[in-house]
Amino acid sequence: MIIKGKTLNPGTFILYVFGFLLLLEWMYPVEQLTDTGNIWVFVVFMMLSLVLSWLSVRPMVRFPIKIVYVLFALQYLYFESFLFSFEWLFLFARDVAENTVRLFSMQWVELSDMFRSVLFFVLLGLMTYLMRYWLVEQRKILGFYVMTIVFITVLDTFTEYDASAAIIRTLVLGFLLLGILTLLRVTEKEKIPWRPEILKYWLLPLAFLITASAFFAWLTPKAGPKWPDPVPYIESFVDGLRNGTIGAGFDSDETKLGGPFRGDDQVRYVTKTRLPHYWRVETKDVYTGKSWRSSQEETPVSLPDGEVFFFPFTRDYFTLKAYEAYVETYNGAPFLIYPAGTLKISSPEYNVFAADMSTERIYANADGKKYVPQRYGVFYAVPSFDADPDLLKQVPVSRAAFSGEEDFYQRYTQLPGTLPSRVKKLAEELTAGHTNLYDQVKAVENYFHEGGFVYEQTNVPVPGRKEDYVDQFLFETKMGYCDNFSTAMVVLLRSVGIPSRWVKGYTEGRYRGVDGEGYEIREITNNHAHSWPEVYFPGVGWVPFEPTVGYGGFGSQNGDLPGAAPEVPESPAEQPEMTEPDGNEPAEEQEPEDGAPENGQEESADEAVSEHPQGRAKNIHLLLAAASGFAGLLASGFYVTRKKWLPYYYLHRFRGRNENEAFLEAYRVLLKQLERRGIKRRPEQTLGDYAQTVDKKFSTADMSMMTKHYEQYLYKGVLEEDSWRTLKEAWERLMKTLA
Amino acid sequence: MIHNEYNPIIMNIIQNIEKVMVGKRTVAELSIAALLAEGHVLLEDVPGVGKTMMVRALAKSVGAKFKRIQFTPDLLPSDVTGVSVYNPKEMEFEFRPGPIMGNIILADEINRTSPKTQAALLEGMEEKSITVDGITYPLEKPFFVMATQNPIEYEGTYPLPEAQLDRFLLKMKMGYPTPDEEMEVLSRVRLSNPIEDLQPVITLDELRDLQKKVKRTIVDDSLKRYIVDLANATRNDRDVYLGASPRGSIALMKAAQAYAFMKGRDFCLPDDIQYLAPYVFSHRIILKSEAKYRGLTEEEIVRRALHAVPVPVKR
Repeated sequence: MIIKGKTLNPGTFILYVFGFLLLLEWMYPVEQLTDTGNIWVFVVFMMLSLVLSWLSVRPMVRFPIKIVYVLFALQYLYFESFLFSFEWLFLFARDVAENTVRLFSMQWVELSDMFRSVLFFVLLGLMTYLMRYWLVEQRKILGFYVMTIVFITVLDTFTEYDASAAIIRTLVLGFLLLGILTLLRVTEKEKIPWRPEILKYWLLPLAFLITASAFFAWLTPKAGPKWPDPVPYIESFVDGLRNGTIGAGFDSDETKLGGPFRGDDQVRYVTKTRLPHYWRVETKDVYTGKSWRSSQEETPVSLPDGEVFFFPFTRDYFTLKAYEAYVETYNGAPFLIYPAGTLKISSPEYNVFAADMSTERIYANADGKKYVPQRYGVFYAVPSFDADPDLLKQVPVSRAAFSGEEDFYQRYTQLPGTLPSRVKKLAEELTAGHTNLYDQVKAVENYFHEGGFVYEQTNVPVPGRKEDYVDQFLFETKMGYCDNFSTAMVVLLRSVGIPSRWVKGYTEGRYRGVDGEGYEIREITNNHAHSWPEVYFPGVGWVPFEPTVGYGGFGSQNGDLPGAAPEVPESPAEQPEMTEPDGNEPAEEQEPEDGAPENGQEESADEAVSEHPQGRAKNIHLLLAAASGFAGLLASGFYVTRKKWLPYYYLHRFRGRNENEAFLEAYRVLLKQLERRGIKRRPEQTLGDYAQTVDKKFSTADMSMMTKHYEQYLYKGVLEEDSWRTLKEAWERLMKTLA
Repeated sequence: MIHNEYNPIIMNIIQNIEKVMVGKRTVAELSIAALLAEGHVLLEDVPGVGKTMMVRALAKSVGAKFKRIQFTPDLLPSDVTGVSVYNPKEMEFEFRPGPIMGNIILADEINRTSPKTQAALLEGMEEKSITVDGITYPLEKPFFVMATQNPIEYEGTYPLPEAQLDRFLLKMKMGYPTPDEEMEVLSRVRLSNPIEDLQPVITLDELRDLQKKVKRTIVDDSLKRYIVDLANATRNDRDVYLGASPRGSIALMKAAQAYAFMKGRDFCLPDDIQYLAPYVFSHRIILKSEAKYRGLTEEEIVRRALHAVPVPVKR
């Protein structure tokens, strides 16, 4: 006889199913994150083990079955050519022997795939054994459940595994399992005979609560994190320790694009400017498909007297307007931030400045090392496009303009050979029909605002091995932050032969007020780190654009105005990346949120809703549903907990009542409350006897005292003159005890 | 007035009795209750547990005339009621009252005598008067009979018929004292018989007054209904051949009144009724023989009834 004489319990089977599903949650990420293929082989093994365990098959039978399965699985996975022969067993044995040696000499990296599969099978076998112990013997699963949750959340946080569905599954499963196990434990401990009503009293509310809470957890809007994602901070902090600087927010090394945005609220700069504008740090020219690099080696060039010679605009083309700005640095990384069009840098601390010509990064130079001054001023000039708004539109699309500058053209139209052709096709579609350069660039820029792109900081994937960062963003995710938008715009422009480059820096920061001389004071934090494209207009210079949705950028109807980015309203969460789109963009006003709402708008709900009536109507339905559901939940919660709060309500209600008859009512309320607390009077029990039970339970004499008065009213028809006055205190005492 | 304490007079009597009786508070209480309710008590117990002592102590405490009739098979009715004797000097018959002409009578081993003699006593109990030679003599008031019955010996006894059992307000058992109590009994009787020194705490007039007051104790309609429901429950029980009679209901109400009065109340509580019901009802119930063979007792039937009938808690 294989199965022991025990009757099979269908209830236990349900437990095993739940246990299996919980274990499965550990398998999904294994499949997704590691290169473990054929995961179903292991899942089937898990099922087999659990079923054998449920059937209480004797170990003598159970183990051979499992071993046979494992051997078949291994043959299927690694020795397929040896089907129906047993020679592979020899190879297998040798492999196991070799790997066992490796295992114990700690050469774990060299373990063969097959041996790792064997170990995995063993692990799964142990897990199913533990499962049985937890579910059937111990009736406790909390430990494993918590471990599962931690495992999933850690994976969700630190890897690309998306656990948003897994966490809901696990939540529901785990709570159900916990509830059922508690029920079993209690009934077994108290030796309560099994009745179908138990299911009604226990499982119905349990199922209801779990579904309701899961549903509302899913339905309710999730607030963005109060503080930035800790993971990048931890990583950057560790990096900073390693490199000597703490470089959160601004990572100058774009060896890998993608993944969540890393920022925090640490103030890096305080600026005083006449106008709000973006601050440059550096530019990169080589796009690899995964990252931005510089095409040249670091080439330091000293800037005598702080005079900057790489002015981005052709000086005689525009009327230039000169400004001064002042910067204070905190926790300064060894580079300066400066506005486009900087002519001169001065600082009381350093007089020698240098720039890396490959990236246009500027730093103070002393003793051959890089520094950043605590305070410095910049003198810069910006073209006043206002004088002639259509000036940029006069720049034609012309390859001929670069005839003498082949190198320059090559450098700023560089693209990796792996770039999928659909990127270029898209760029051609976008620019077709536009005759001048400005309109072409603007068409590409507008595509990001109108093409259903969503601003997203955290849920941004890293491109896979064979994927292109821009291609993934443009055609698959359509979600990302400034790096995605700026890189994609540069790549699109380059694919149609428009020279452009990628600039890193900061936005204008958070407005903090005006100083005595009329300078606007702003704080720049790591959250204000930003990137944008600059497009080369022959005869004009490098003109910045702003493709990132939710950013005001340089946009004005007249043209792009460097150094004059409009004031961007701050969201209450002080997440600079989550700001509203600029109202000046007419195209954006007409567009009523294609598909998913922008992250920023969802966050600053009030403003967003008031601007988009359609969004509001949609939201109201959802809100109403959520509110009524919440109200229902609240009401049932109140009902369930009424024995806790009702006494206080009655205490309050009877406090103001002084007429003697109130005692009768109060006494009846007390009886009800006692009943709610599970101290119920049996119908054949006299009030006096009941009162004694109550008094004994609470070590008082209050109940008997009150009951005497009530009895006299009941059986004599007379209520003492001042019953309520003398008994009020006792009544209140008892009600409080019962609360 | 909210009382929990005993009526002070009753407390005095109880304490007085307890000077000679060790333990047996329940029996004393119930006896007083029966006395106050103008009922009679049937004590069912073996000899030597202090039945006589109890009655005598009670009689002494209330200053009542105590008489004792030891029932034997050859006792004649006239031995109970008294006889008319010719007085040669006065030239006429003269009534010589029997032992029944007292206030508190101990009718010992009432089931040993012939039904005729039993009837003489029971008539007196019910009618509060006796008739000898055609002349009716009223009995003294208060008139309280405490009859005892030995449950062990059935040989040559005349068990009281149901109709006559019904005339006892309460039936109770004395029970043995606990070892401690018995030790106390021994030390008390070592030197003297304490009953001789017992002094009355109230007069007969006062007792009569108390009896009147008991009658005025309030029984709410809901409680009357409760009593009726209880009696009905005994009648409808499947194991009962004959349930408690309406006279039983009356008895329960009267006893409850007395008991409530003793507890210092001028109104009855369902607690009084619940407490007294087994003593009042159990001897009025006749079980079916099969139930009797199953070992069921009359007390169990009363308990069932108490369990089945809900207490009235609404006005």
